[in-house]
Amino acid sequence: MAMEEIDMDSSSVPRSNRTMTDEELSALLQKWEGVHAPASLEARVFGMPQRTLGGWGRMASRSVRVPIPVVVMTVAAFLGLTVWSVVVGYNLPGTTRVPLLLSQSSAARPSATLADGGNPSGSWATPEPQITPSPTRIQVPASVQAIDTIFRVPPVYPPDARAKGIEGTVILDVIIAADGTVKDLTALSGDGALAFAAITAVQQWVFEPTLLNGEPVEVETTVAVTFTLHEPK
Amino acid sequence: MTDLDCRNAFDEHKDSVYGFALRLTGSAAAAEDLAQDCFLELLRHPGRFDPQRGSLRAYLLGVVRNLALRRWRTERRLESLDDAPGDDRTDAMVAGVSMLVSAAVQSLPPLQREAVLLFEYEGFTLEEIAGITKTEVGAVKSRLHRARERLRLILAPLRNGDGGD
Repeated sequence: MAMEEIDMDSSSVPRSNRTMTDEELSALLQKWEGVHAPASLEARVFGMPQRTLGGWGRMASRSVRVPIPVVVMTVAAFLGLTVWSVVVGYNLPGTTRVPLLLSQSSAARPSATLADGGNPSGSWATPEPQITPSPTRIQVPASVQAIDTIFRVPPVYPPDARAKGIEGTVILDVIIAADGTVKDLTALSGDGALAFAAITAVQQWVFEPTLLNGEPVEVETTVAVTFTLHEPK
Repeated sequence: MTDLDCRNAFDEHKDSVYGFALRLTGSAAAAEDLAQDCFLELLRHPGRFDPQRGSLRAYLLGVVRNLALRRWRTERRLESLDDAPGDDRTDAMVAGVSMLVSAAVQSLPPLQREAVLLFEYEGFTLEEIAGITKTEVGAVKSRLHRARERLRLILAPLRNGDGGD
């Protein structure tokens, strides 16, 4: 309990003062004023696709900024054992812009579009009177998508890479088909051998289909697979 | 819990959830991340909230607390959060009583800090805090006691009559 050892000598405690009571301390603590949640929180919670969207009638055409959390799969080989851990991290800097065209009424059929075709300024877009009828691909933060993974094949640490002590993270851009299977994936960064192993594994993953107003949609997300030779502490 | 219930829960508890996260982490960005993840957890798994075990607010703050500690452990890899130092922000030059109190609470070890936040700012009882933090009432009482002792020392100059300067 070293951190709890508080210096109680006379230099730390005003000699002329009696001990502050619990009530006095509570009153003092209340000087720390409360805060209100920022308006952006609502967009971050309700502006991104959930398993079921719609019904609240308050979501219009919006362009929201969301962080890029990544799924970090760690393969640790330590004393001959392979240890897996899944960490939802925030390792990638920056944000991505995700314009979502969401239905305001149950009669309208929703769709979503990829980022760059939308609002470049990142501000709230004017609600679109016309909504593209066919659902296309949407971008989903990996932290949302990862929990819906229903089948995972762990990557195999390439023996050569292990022998050479090669470690690192492979960033994959993954396109998930409407039925939850991996339609396409591309290595954005990482060692070649590790990337091959990561792609071989992740392309076999199956995700729970993402629904947008009850319709399964294609999803693009980011997966990071980290290979390390040291067991995570 | 229906979507409408989740929406109402957000409207009712967003300030409490965000405020608790902000006081817990000392970072607006981290607090917004935690609040977002907290409500996404409710949206994705509404069945995990059991009204028999406590209020919705207590459940949500418990989610924030667990997310914060998980993040803390991941980022700082601390073995004992009860003894770990808090953020070293006790800067005598910080202006304003509110900022000084903020800095003092932020300087507490995480588990003492959460006990203070839940008791002093969120108004939970010791038993409720024990439920939220999944620990014994005695442990909560101990953490609160140690936190208060520490805060008394740090905040002594702010007592009425001392002037704080």
